Amino acid sequence: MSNMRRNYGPGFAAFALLGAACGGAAAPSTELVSARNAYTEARNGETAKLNPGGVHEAAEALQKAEAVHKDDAGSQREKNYAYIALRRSELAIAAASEALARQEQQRAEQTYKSELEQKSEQATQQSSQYAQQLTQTQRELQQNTQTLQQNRQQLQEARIAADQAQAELRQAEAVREEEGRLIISLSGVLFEPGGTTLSTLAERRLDTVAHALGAYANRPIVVEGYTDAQGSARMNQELSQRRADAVREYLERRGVNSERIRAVGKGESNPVASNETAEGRANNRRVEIIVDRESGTPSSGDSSSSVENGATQSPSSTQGSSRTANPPGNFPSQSSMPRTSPPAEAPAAPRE
Amino acid sequence: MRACKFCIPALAVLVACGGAELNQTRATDVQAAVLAAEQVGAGDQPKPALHLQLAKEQIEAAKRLAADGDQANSNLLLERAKVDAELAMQLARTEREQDSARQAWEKIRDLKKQSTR
Repeated sequence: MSNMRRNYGPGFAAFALLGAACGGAAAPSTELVSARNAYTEARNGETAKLNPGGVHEAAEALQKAEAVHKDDAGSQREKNYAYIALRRSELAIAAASEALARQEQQRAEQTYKSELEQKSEQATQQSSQYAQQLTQTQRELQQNTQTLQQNRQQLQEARIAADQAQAELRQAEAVREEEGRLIISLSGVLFEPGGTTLSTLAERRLDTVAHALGAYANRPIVVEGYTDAQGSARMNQELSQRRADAVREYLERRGVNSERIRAVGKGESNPVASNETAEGRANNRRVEIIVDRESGTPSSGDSSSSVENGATQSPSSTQGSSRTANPPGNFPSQSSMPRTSPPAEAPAAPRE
Repeated sequence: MRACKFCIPALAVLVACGGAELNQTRATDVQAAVLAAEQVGAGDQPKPALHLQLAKEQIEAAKRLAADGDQANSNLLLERAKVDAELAMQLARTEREQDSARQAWEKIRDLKKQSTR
């Protein structure tokens, strides 16, 4: 029924308009012209699609107005019917506009919903990413905390080991510290007279030293050999070098890394006691093992003057730098070195 | 709407008392249309208010014609008044829907603005 009305209305009105135009009737009233125009607008625009029922009613109203116009042109009746027809067309257009607005509103609501869903999805994704980052950061923090704890523990253990090693050494040997360096001085009978073979007692003492050196794994070590002032300076120099080499080799055999240890012959330089007495000479015949500062920190013993002063260094030394040697007969500059007697002249041949 | 149910018979009675010759059925229809237009707020918006006013004036004119015995033109004026009242109501509803649609799109624009901040 509704479809029939839709098809019938506009066609019929068009027919009526055509009839009016061809009939040669009197001129239509202003109201009728307005009604015809409004109907044309309603029929040809979106209104026909959105509100076909309303357009049909407008067509019927216009048809009635046209009929009255035909019978009684220019009358008040014509104007009244034309007025009603005009309002019917306006009503149809307004109702169609309402339908259109409602469609727009629905479309907007749908769009709004989609936007919200999209935003919600984005927020969820972002939240998930943040959660992952947080988890990752927490994991890294936990790992770092564990590593820190391990490092602290290792450091503590290393300190304890170093303290123990120092304590052992202090019991067994003369140990002193100078400018961050640890100096272990071994004197007394270490070698057979005039030779470079370590005595059994010396080896035992060096075992203790080797054990203690393990606590300073990252620090360079210098073995310095010294003689008394008897014999020629040249021979004393060579002898001190060989003896320093012997100590270095022994320490290497006992596990000290060869890459961080070197031997330096100091000859009769840096006496710690007078060479005039047998006791003083015995103290001057010694080997000093110097545990230097951490790698990369220059030792106070390294200086250009050592070359000038003729100190020799073990050919097997991996570091290749010279060690300071004071001129024969001079006491060391270190204030901590005991000075027991004035230096003696070097004898012609080494005698120990 | 409940108020409307009470008002329409009351108006019909008033109309009946005002002029004996006015078509009661049509007059009641027109008054119902006027009330319906007023209820959707036609009086608050310029264009619907104009048609509402026209409807009311035409009712008064119809009464006068009926009183003069011009029943035919009185009926026609009532018909004109009715279609004006219907148009007033329709225009009011249309404007309301268009406002709602505008607000809905405005809401989307605000949402998009928030997203870009």
